[in-house]
Amino acid sequence: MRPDVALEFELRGPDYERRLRQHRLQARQELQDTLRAILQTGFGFLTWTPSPVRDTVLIELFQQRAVPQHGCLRVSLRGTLTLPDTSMCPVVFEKWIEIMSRVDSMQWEPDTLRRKWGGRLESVLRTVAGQLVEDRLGRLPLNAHVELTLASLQAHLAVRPSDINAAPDPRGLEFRLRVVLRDPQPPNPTIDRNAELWFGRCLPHATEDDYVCDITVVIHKGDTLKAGDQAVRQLLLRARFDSLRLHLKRYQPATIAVGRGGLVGPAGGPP
Amino acid sequence: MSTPVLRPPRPELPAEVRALALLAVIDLLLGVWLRLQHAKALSTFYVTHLPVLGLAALGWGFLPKDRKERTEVWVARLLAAPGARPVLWAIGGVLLAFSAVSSSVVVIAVDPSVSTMVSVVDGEQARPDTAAVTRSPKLRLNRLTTPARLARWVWPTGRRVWLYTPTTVSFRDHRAYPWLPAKLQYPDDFVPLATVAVLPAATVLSKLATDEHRLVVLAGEGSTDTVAQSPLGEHGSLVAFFGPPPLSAGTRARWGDKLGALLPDTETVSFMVGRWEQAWLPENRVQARRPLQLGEALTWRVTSAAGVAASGEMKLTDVVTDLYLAF
Repeated sequence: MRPDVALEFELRGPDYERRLRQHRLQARQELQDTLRAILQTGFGFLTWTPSPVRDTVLIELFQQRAVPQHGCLRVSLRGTLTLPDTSMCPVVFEKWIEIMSRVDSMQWEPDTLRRKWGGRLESVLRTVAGQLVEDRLGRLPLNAHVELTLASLQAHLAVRPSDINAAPDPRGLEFRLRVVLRDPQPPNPTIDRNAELWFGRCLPHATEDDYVCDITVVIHKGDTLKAGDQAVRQLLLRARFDSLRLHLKRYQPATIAVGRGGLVGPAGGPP
Repeated sequence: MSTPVLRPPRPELPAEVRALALLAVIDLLLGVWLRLQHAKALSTFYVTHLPVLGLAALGWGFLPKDRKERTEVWVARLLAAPGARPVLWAIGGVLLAFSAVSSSVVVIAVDPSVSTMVSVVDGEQARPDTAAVTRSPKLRLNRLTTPARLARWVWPTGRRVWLYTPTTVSFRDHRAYPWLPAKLQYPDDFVPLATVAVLPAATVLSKLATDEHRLVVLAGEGSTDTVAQSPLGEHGSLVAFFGPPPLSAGTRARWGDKLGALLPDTETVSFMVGRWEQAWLPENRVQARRPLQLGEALTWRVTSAAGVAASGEMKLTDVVTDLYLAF
């Protein structure tokens, strides 16, 4: 269900390198482990493995070149899907004056940094979580079956909240189904290889505890169309869909691991 | 056989006149010495002469003739006594010996509004002895004390001195000779003291934090005369010989303007100004080997383990002259 993903953490920048010196590798490793735990909690629809796999999420903490050299955070994706981030400083992680204010060498000990930066990394990632799911992490497809009921504009997703560590309340969830849409309408049948169906207003299925969602939006030939429009409904009814790949578009993590129906066991996990 | 030639006896000054002449010479030389060395005391010297001489002349007129004659005889006998002239020679010799090893430093306030303390340091300004600077005597100079005078023991070849006030230093060394004092006019013979504020750029601050960088200031282009050298910390530093002038609002504003043109946000500008202000902390001072004078040209270089990181020339155009380090 959940795609495996490896995490790589990079720490670059003149001040970081000079201050950490021989501790840089240790700091990098400790922060990578901390980040993996944070990501496991906040983005549990991916399996964050410590061993290398095909897809890698690269998180870079680097100092921008321009003065003042703030510490910036960048998240990019490598592997089957390469999504680099070319922004100069996507997220300001810490200002240069903060870096310069850590004058005591104790403040640059890897363990001190891990404690200080761990909390901030969690906070920053929580702040940009929506964008991360939409633009980066949600681009890795879930391995789940999707059944479309086009007459009622609904989709039945074989995904349970516990499969993706999602919050029990499904209102925070949206999915995106990337498809190859073949429109056979004469006289010009068309193929759109980048079509998308967006699923929202998800509810738990009456019997199977997975999601049933409304088809809300259709992306066809680059246009964003409301699924409820008559023309769009007709398009959906006559079209054929191939190469279905389900992605998360919006995600709300469970604060703790839950079982079926959002149940929590006495130990704090699924019953 | 030759007949001895009889020469007439050479006329000799009477002994009492010789002693009187010796006394007059001593008095004259004392007057000249006071005129050269201690102008203020000269007036006292002569003012005390006048009533003594006047009263003596007045009293002399009232004396009966026989008393006058007896007094004249007594004075003449005293002056003509065999020990009188040796005593006068001895007094004259002592005074002459004293004048040969004694001189003074005289500072005259040209501007009547001047009020300052002038320190007199023995030795050369180019190679100052810090112990001599520490124990240097001070003169209070204002319109009431001018000319301020400081007596100094000297060798017959003279004694080299230089002077400073809290804000100025004598333009050059001066030498006090026996009989000829070192005379200076304030402020004409003084030049403002200068301080170099070493201001690392934002990118340099972090380099200073981790790698040892050393500032070397030399006297001028091609010179090997090291004026100051010290490791630089991750903050501003001051190169100065004496305590620097207080950090002024004008200096802060100048720094703010410079940084404002280089940095995008006021928060970073404030941070940098704060770091540069730490130059005024005593522990962040780079001790110059000698006083730095306004208008002086210096060369400088910053070295690290990798070699020379930056170098350049500078002229001390301001009391606090900025040296902006960017490398």
